[in-house]
Amino acid sequence: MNKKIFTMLLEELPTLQAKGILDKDNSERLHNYCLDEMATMPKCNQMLHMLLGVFATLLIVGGIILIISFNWDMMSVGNHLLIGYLPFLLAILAGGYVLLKYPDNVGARESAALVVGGCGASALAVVSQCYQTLGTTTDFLMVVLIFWLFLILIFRSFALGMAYALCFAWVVSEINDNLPVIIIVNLLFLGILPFMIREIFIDANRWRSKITQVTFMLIATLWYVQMSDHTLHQTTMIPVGVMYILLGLLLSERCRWNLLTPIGVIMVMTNLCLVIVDRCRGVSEISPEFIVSNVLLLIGMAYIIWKKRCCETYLALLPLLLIVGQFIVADKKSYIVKSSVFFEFVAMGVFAAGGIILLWLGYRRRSFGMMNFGMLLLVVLVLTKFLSLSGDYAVAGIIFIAFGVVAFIINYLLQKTTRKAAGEK
Amino acid sequence: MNKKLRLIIYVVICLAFLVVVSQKVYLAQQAKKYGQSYKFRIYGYDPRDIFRGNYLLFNFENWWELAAACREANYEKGETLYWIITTDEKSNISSFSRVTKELPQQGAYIKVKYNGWGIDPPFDRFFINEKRAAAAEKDFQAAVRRKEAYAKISIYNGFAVLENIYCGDEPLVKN
Repeated sequence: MNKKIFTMLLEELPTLQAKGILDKDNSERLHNYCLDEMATMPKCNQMLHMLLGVFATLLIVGGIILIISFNWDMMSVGNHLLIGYLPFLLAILAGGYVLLKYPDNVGARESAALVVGGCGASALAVVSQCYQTLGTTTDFLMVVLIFWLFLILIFRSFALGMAYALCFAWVVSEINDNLPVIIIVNLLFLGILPFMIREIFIDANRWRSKITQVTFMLIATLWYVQMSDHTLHQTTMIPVGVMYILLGLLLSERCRWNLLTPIGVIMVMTNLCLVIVDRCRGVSEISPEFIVSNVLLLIGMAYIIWKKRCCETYLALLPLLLIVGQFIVADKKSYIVKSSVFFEFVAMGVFAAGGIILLWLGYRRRSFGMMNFGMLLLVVLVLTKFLSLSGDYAVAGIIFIAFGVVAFIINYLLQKTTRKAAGEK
Repeated sequence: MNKKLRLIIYVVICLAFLVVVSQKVYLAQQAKKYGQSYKFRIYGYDPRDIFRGNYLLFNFENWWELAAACREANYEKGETLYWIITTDEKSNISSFSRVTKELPQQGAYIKVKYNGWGIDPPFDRFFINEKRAAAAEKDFQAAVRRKEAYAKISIYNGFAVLENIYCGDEPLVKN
């Protein structure tokens, strides 16, 4: 039963009691039952308000950053340091307050972890810039990640965990054969593993778990590839694919819809197709180990499809089609993909339209997954525009703030509509 | 983990990170206040750092020769070395004359590490505001061609801080 039915039932209870269909005790029991059931249901509207709130905050913060950046050269080193340190010190205090007063409030913990982690990283970046300190982006991220790792564990923050994973992907893809760096990267990977595994297993049906699955896939692949001293190529994808399939099988005992299994299958199938294509062109040989491992994987796939009824496994056909398609049109139409028109207009249009449609559909159907993806597409679009702004910072900053304010207004109106529908004042 | 322990760990971690950040400020301020300034001839170009913005990537003029000398000397990877600085009295331009394993008793030097095939230079980038990056890159390239691109560095007890980049007599960042 959905929330609407429970609400209708609650509304009907006094009438039913008045007509003598239900006695007082039964009416109370039914009333309590409905309230309990409704309390355990996901609060879709709250989620939307939270997402819009985060989105609006991001836009306003982005706008403020752009305006500061516009005036940056006119400020002294002291002012630069103040801009770096002050938010960090305030964030530390706010984080401590959250740990003391609201240790069980998920929203407060997530926000505090993000703010403390972000302000810490920006303080280090500002100091590095002020004194022109030596060091690559990878060095910078390694210092920040050590700090973030502790914050993630202390605040149990999912959002910072995901940011950590993305930065880790950057770090691990840039490492060389420097032993201390390899040791640090390994420790960073091992440090985040318990958190990610907990997130995947704690409730495999949540989108949080599914996002963690994809993130895990990203960092585990890069980590594996770099640590085995290979570049990302077909043979290294086989064991990684096996790892995903095994973990996916393990998860599918708890949850039929998991992403690791299809992703593992996609990787293996892609790998298989690429090797076959290479073989057809006479570029590489197919070794006996390769044949054996792929036959085993195909058996594994057949088992998953047959026993677990994991229909997403059919997604494995997509890369196959993609590769075949690429080979058919590669010579004639590759200029379309390379064209700047494609990226500037088509890709951005798809992102924006996709984001808005998903948000709308998600709201209508009360689906968090759709809304999350919609927000994700829009955030990606905003971030890419933020990082590639070619115009005036001050104008761009004002546009960002204006969009943020609009998002807040939409949030307020939605909240008002929801309250009205619920009969609240 | 109980609330108090969590809070204590949080405070310790935040303080440790603050110390790491502040140590950079402290050392740089010491070098600026008490250190001596040197001008080195440099060359370079203008890439972009996605997290930290635009910067000029540069290198010191005789860096390759010193890297080759280090390889010939068979230093161990990760070994601490000292770059000795000499200044030409006529032009007032400094350069790294040689590398040594022993801590120099007099004269200016910079502490560096041997990376297996050369030395990571003490500085290799100069951050610059994005809106000025294109013009700065143009001025910088012209100065490199005229051999008039310099890095002004303050050194104190082997710790160096980059003060500014000069194209001829003009500093790249004015304030």
